[in-house]
Amino acid sequence: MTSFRRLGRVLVANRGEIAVRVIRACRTAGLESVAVYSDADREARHVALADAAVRLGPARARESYLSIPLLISAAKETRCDAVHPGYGFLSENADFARAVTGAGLVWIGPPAEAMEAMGSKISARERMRKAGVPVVPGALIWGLEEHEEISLNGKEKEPKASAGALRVASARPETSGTFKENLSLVSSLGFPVLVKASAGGGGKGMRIVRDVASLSEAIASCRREAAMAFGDSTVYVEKYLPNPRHIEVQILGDTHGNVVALGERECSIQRRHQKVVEECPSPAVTPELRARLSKAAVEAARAVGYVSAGTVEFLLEPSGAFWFLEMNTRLQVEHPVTEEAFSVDLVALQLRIAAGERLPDLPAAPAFHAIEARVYAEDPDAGFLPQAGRLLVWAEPSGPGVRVDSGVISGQAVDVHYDPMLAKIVAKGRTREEARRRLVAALRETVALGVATNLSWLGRLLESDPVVRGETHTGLLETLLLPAPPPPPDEVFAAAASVLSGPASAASGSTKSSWPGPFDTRFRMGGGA
Amino acid sequence: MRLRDLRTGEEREAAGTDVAPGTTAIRAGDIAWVAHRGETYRLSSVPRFSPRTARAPEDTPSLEAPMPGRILGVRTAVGATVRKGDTLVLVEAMKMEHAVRAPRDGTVTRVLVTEGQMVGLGDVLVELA
Repeated sequence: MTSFRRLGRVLVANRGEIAVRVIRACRTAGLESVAVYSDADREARHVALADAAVRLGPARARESYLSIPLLISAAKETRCDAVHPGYGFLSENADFARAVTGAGLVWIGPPAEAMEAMGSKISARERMRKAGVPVVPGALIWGLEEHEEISLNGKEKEPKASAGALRVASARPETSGTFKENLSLVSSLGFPVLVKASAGGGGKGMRIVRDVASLSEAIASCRREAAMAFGDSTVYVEKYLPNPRHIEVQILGDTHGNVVALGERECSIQRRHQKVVEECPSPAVTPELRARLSKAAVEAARAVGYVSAGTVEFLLEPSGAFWFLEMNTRLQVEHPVTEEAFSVDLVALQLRIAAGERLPDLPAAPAFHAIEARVYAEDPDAGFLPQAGRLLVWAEPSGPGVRVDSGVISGQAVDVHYDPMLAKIVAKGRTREEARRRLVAALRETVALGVATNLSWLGRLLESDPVVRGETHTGLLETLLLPAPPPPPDEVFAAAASVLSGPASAASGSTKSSWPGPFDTRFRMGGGA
Repeated sequence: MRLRDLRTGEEREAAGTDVAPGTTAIRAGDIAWVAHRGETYRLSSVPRFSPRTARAPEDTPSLEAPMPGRILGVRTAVGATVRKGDTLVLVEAMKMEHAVRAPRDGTVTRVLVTEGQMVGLGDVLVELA
């Protein structure tokens, strides 16, 4: 524990629930924490919780949470000793890691070289192939920085800068050659194929393409999203496996050369390649399969000299065959299910590793089952479109085996500039079924008013047959039909009439306007109000 | 007062008595948000003397922003002939890109946004004739 002190004061270079999570871990370890915020986050929970807070800039991430110079100067101004990047934003940016260490600060994460080796999905696949880890079959790689511009309709060249034109590169031998040759390679994979951002994560920019005709628009829009989210528009194409499970292995490495696996997470329930529900252990993984997955994941981490917490993602086919997908060189959003199932604190372990400690003895198998549901500001009745507005009421669940990692408080604005995830609700139990029932109860207990969320939808999802039976795959949500929520009973109409009658508050208008705050509206809780 | 449930469209008369036990309700402008027995509802009051002008989506003359966000690109121009399903505008919010598509064949009569502009939910982007 004493070596924690070497870290002294930690700059938490993130926002939302993960900033809150890291601040808590720092406090538990006896370290001070410094939060950063954009103008949109002045009232945010992470700002209030930290020992100090530094304003970065305007709401747009590029001018705040994605600005390396602003973050470094915030760390120096507040005399921090170390930087924790959280997930998303700059967490997998090797330049940021180098800037941090270059400024004489401790980077709480993997070495920049390991991030680079895994950060480009192109080079990661190649390294894994060489290390003997199976990779998704038939992948074809596209760099898009150089060479000719060609119309993907395959007929004629289009004028420069037209919407359908692409720059096709040949960064690697297998993709060299003309565009037409590359196109025939894509076709030989067989459609559908998956177009992905090389620097990507969290499914940002990812597109399933079912025929040649749609390839052009898919690549162009993937590039735009990739450039926006990661500042790197390199894209690649690989064979799309229908309905595999998404299984990932948590690994931890220390600076003394030790690498261990800490079980797997089942993350098959995804929409638009964004994970929605995750659990540990996976109902599909036997101890024998866990041993094989762990071995492959540890090999992957060793191949790049990995240090700190990381995740190796695999696609698992019903046959038990699995393929390396990518490695996430950071703490994962869904890390709490591993923590609950194994009774460990991964962020505390990151701090100990960064302070130079050796990995402690860790459990070999999970003692509990844990399931996480991500609460998003999105409207299931309107195509799951992200929602923004003011979260007028937010009440979190509790009870035995229930954990909430959230970054919001009642009255807080939910801003369009950032990820729409509001909270992660996690339940654990001695069995999967106990965990699932606790999670359903916890979701029903959660109250979110003012911004539409997927809370009720998550509850119905967790009660659906495939989820109850643990028979999930990545295509589940495309076909699963859930029962509709119940129509409003009389009490709901009465409650609505109660708050809508009476004098209009100062905040009249529609929900899209900005609100002075929750206390200017009529607010009644329970019957005693 | 007459109230409409915004999800189902169901309308009912209700008196503003009290909020029942186990129910949380809050007003945000014209909308009442109600949490009751694990479900969340949105309701609005229905004006008595202005019958609502219901329109089928095919007849809608204007395309509105499906969410607040930033205009990533405008893929059409005034006078352009568009086919149903054509992408007219790209909106970006929360790091996701959404295509606003033509609900029917038609001619673009107005384009009210430009690339880079921030828009609110329901803002008119394009009008069709």
